[in-house]
Amino acid sequence: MKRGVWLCCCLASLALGQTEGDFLDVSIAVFTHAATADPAGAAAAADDSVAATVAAVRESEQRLLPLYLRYRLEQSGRFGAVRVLPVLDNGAELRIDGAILESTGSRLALQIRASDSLGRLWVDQTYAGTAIRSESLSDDAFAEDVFADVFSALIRDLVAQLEQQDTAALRRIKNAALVRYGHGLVPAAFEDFMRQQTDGSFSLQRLPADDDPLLRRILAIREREYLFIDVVDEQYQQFYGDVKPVYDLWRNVQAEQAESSSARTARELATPSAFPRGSYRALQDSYNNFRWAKLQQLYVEEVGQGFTNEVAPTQLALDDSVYKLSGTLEQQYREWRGLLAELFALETAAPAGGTPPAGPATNAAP
Amino acid sequence: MSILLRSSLLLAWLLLLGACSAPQQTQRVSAPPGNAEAVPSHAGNLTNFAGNWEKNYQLSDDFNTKFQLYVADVLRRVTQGNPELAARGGFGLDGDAINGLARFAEELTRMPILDIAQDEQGITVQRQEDFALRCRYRDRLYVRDSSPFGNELCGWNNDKLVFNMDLPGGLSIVHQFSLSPDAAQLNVTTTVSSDLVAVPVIISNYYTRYINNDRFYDCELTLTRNRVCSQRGGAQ
Repeated sequence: MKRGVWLCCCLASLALGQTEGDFLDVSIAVFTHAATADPAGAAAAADDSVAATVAAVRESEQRLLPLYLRYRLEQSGRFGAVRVLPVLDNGAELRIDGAILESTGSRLALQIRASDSLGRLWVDQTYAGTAIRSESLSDDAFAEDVFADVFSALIRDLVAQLEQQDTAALRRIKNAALVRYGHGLVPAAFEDFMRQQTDGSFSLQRLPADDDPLLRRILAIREREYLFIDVVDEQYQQFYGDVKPVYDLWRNVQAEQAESSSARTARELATPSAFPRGSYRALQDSYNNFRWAKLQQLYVEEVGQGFTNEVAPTQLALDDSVYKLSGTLEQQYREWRGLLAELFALETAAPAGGTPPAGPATNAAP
Repeated sequence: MSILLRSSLLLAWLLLLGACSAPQQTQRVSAPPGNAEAVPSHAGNLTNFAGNWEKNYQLSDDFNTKFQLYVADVLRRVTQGNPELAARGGFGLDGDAINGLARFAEELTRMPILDIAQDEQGITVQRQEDFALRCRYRDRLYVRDSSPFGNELCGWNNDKLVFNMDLPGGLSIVHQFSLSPDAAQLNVTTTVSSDLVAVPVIISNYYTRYINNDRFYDCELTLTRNRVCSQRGGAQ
């Protein structure tokens, strides 16, 4: 967690009597775009440059919106480390998945699903709102957004859920996250620790002993993974800093243009030409309206082209970094999994020959 | 109003127009024939219009002459009792409409400079003081674009590229682009019609290539820094 945010969390925790161990870490997946599944969006665009702009904007907002959520969650001071990841690990304490249902300069709709490591749903609903443009006195430009209210509603719901969890419940979520993480690496060793309920949630059956060597290895691996994640996270932060101002500008231009364009179109169509049909003035009037419509169309496309030109290098750099880091992490995982499976096989082949050492059963049935 | 009175009014306007529409001098440098780069007249199977073009006033229609001929043509058709005009219920004799159409056509076809970018997918014709004509003619199909303010259709007619605009108020504009066999001359023939005038105004303009100094720069549009240019093959 970054120092400033950590200070924020500490101050909040003093007020709420929370300790560091009580904060849930949050993993946010890069959002999906509901329209991505429907090729009509980008592919049906009449023009290649329009299709390229649609793709570039979508790709940007799939990352920018979760990154903005991350800033807002950190700002709330109610959660631990908040990370945005290309793919969520199964050991997340609280995971958030989002789909962008609608995103124009003037309206945003998100489908958000948040669940904890015990598989319990915290939030599963649509958050939508219209852009509210205002000047802010805040010096934290990253935390400003015209759709801030949409995110505020989501954060309110998450915090409301958080407040229903007592310390024991938070501890269970953290333990379950660790067990699920271990299960992802050495399934055989962690099968007995959790049980999936019919409703899809999990219940903790028991926990490994604190001095369990496998658990220590798992913890060490998770720490290693956090190092990778933090590097990816830095790339995302860099991306956010570079692209958010451009994206905000693009969104504002889109909204203003759409507003003025529809206003003029309605006005012109409602008012018949004041000049006699076929006269020079009437012909000029007709052509000027057509010219205006074409210029508006070209302007929107130019703005889109400007957006694409400006964000493309940053997006490529991010894609490259994430690809390399993810590839490295995946390779690491494969090696860890193989190694741990071998170790587990060796350990379980020992005289005791049974399950790995276990700690006391938890009374953590959800 | 008698036909003679109408034609004299038209001619009076013609004189006024003639005073205003003298050929403009441009500061552009024409490409010397000896140094002109060899430009292929076809990009793939398509006629290649790409390049920077300036109006050749010597070859292009002189609007005053054209207008006189146009008026004469209208009058001739009327006096010969053209059945086509008769079928239009007397349309074609509206002096204001003829006047308006001609004046509008003259303004529309000034286009002193054309900067054309073209590839296999489409073409963009940048025009001074007017919107860019664009056509995404993938697969050589006609492309239609509609808005509440008019419909546009563009595409290839053999080696000619055609832009057809049908606008409210009975106005129709057709720009037809063609290239001379040696690719040295670009012809743009514009037909402007009004549903109140039986005879369309047809203006033919010729363009020759000029050297655009912008070609020494690579420019890219950005949202926060506007247009960013760098010297081609060099530092920014």
